[in-house]
Amino acid sequence: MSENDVVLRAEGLKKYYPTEDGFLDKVFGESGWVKALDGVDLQIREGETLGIVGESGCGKSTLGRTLLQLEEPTDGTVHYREENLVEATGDRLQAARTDLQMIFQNPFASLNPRFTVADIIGEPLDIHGIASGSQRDKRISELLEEVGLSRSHANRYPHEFSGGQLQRIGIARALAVDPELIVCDEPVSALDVSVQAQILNLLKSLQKEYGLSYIFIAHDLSVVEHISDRIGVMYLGKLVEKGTTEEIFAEPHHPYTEALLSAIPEPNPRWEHDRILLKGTVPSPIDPPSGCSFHTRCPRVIQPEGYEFEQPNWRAILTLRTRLEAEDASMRSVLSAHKASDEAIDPETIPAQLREAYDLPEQLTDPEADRVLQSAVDHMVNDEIGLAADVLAQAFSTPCESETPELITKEQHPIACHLYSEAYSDQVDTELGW
Amino acid sequence: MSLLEVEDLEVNFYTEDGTVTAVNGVSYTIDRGEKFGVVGESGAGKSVTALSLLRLIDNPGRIESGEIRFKGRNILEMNEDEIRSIRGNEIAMVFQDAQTALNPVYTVGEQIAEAVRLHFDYSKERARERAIEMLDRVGIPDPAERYTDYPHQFSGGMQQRAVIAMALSCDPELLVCDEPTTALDVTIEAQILELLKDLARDFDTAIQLITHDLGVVAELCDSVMVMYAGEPVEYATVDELFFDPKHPYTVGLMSSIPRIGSGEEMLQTIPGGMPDLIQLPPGCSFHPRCRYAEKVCSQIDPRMVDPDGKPVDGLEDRRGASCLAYTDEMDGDLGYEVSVEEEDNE
Repeated sequence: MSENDVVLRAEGLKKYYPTEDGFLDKVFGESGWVKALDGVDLQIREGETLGIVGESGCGKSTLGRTLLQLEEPTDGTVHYREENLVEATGDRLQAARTDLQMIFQNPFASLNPRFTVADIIGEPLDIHGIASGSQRDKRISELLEEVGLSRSHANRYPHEFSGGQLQRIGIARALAVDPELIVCDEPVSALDVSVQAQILNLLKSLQKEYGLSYIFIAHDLSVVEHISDRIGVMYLGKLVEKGTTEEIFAEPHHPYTEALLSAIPEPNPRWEHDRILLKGTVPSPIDPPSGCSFHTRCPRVIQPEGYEFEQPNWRAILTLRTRLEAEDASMRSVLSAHKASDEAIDPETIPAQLREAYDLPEQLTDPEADRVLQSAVDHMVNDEIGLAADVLAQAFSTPCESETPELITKEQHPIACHLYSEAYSDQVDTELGW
Repeated sequence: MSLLEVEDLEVNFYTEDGTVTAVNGVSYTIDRGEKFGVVGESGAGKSVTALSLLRLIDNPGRIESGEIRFKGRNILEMNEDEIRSIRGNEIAMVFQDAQTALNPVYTVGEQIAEAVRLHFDYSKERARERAIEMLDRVGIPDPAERYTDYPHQFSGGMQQRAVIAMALSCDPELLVCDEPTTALDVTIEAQILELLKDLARDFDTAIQLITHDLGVVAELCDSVMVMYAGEPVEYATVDELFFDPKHPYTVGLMSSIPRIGSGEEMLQTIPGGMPDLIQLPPGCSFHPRCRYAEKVCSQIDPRMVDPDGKPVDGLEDRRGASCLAYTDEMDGDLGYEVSVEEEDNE
C-alpha cells in the first residue's frame, strides 16, 4: 500500500489536562498534569479498521476525540490526507468533519431525546448544507434503510427504540455526511451479544460498500479481533504494542497484551488455563510510574542484576516496595493493625506475618537477596517505612523503573518493552515461556 | 432438598399500555454451593426473577403465582419480619452497577458495618472489625485505611468488591449476582470472577449468576437456565449448553459471539429483537426470529421437554428445551434438529 492511501496520521500526539481544582493551586501554579495521551503515533489507511484496546483510564476515548479535534491536542500533529488538522481554522475543520465522523458508546446519551429520528439524522445534512427539502427527506429514508431500519421510523423519538436500534440511528447520523473515516468509541459494549453481532456485521458491510476506515475503540478483545485489520494496545496514554491483528494475537506479546488476552473469559467451559491476573487497576495518569509505566503491575518485570529470584517473588518484592514508597501513611496503619489486632501476638512472628501479607515466602532461594529483604522487613516492624523502602530500592533495581522503553520492532511489529531490548538481553531469561 | 426451589413463578407488571408478563412459568433449583447461571438478552426476565427471590418487586409489578422455597419454606407466604430475616442474611444480592448500589454520603466501611449490625446485633466496634475483615477478604488493599473512604474514592472494580463484601458480610447461603462484571474491564472482570469462585469454594455459598455474557457463564457456572421473553427455553449443565445446545435460541446466542481465531467474516446473528412482552407472538414466542421456524411454531406453544420428548419440570429434571422439534406431535417437521446439532461444534 502506498503512502497516498493514508487517511489519517497522528504524530507525537499529546493531550494533557491540568489537575488544578482549587483557587490556591491556580494562584501558586501548583497544578500537575493528567497525561491522558503521552505521545501517540499512528496512521490509518483507506478501508482499514484500526482497533484500539486497553483498560478504562488508558486514554482510548481521549485518543479518539483528540484525533477528531474534539479535544485540542497539547502537542503533536494530526494529518487528514495532506492537511494538518491541529492548525486548521474553524471553517476548514468543519469541512473536514464531513469526512471524519464519530459513533459513541452510549446511544441513550448521544441522541437528543427531544429530536425525532429525522431531526437527528437530518441535522448534519443541514449543518453541512448537503441536502434540503424533499431531497433531505429522501436521504434520511435512504440512510434509515441502509442501517436496517425503515423509513416509517423517521418521525419517532429515541425513547421508542431499543439500544441496538438507537446505535443504528447513531450510525446513520455518522453516515449522513458520507464520511471517509468513523471513530467508533465502544459502539457495542452496551449491547446484548446477539445485537452486538448485528451491529458488528452492519459496520463491516458498510465498510465494504463505502470503503470506510474505522478507528474502533473497545475493551473487548474478542470484538476487536473480529473487526480489526490492525490493533494498537494502549496503556497509560501510550501505545505499547502495534501490529496486524494476527501479530498482536500471536507471540511475542507485550506483557500487558498478554495479560489482556489471558483475561478474556473464554466461551468454552472445558478450556483449561492458567490465567494471568493483573493486580490492581491502571495507575493514575497524574503521576504515572517512572520508566515503563506498566512496571508496577507487570508479571514479567526484569529482575535486578546479581540476584536470583523466582519471578513471582520478585514481583511481590517490587509490589511491596511500590507500596512502601507510595503509601507511607496507610502502611503505618496496616502495621499497627497487625500489631494491635491481637494482644497476645508473639512479637517474634510479626516479620513472618508481614511476609505472608505481601505474598512473600518465609525464605527466598537466594540467601543474599533474603538478607536484604529481611532487613527491610525489620525496618517495617520498627515502623521505619522510608528506611525499608530505601533498603529495597538500593539493593534491587530494574531497568523497567528507570528507563522508558521505546517501541522496538520484534518479529515485524513494534513492542515497547525492555524484554525485547538488546541492552538488557543478558538480564532476561531467554525462555519467556509462551 | 435443594437450597432454593422456584416453581412456576409468574410476575406481571400492570402498565398503562397493558399487562407485561415479565416472568412466566419459571422453575429451577439451586443446590448448596452450586453456581447457577441465568442467561438471556435484555428483557428476558432475568433480573425480575432474581428480584422476586427477595420479594423486591414493587408496584406496578406483582408476583402473580408460583412458589419460591428457600430451605423448604415458601418465601412468598412469609410475613414482613420473616422476609427481612432472609434478605441479606441468607440471600444477598450484588447488582450490576456498584456505583448506584453504594450510598455516596456514607463511607464504604460504614455501609458494610451497618449491614452487619442490622443482622448480627454486633457492637459498633465488632461490626467495624467484621467490615474490615470482609474488605480484606475481597482483596481490597489496606482495608483498615480504606474503611473510611467514600464510594467515589474507589475505582469501579473496588466498588464492586465492596458491594460483594457487603453481600458476604452476613454469611449468606445464596448470593444472587445480577451482571456483576458487565460494567468492568476484562482484567478486573477476571479478578472478580476469580473472587466469586474462591468464595463459592471456601464458604460453600451458592451463586445465582445473571448474565448475557456466555464467556462468563463458561468461566463460572455449573448449570444454566436460558430465558427468552420471560420463559425458560433451555436447562442444561454448562458443558451441555456449550457442546450440545438444544434450543435454537441458545444456538443463536452461541453463534453470535465473536470467537478469537475463527477468522469468520460475518458473525451469525439472531435477526430482530426481543418481542413486546405485552403481546407475545402466538405459539413459540421465539418463532419470529427462529431460522428453523415452520408454520406450526406459530400455532402450538412448545412445552419444556428433554431431547426424547419427555416433559421436564426444571426441578427434578434439569435437562430440557422448549422447542417443538423434540415433541412427538411434530414428527412430520423434525428437519431442523439436525441443523441445530451441526451448529454446536463451532
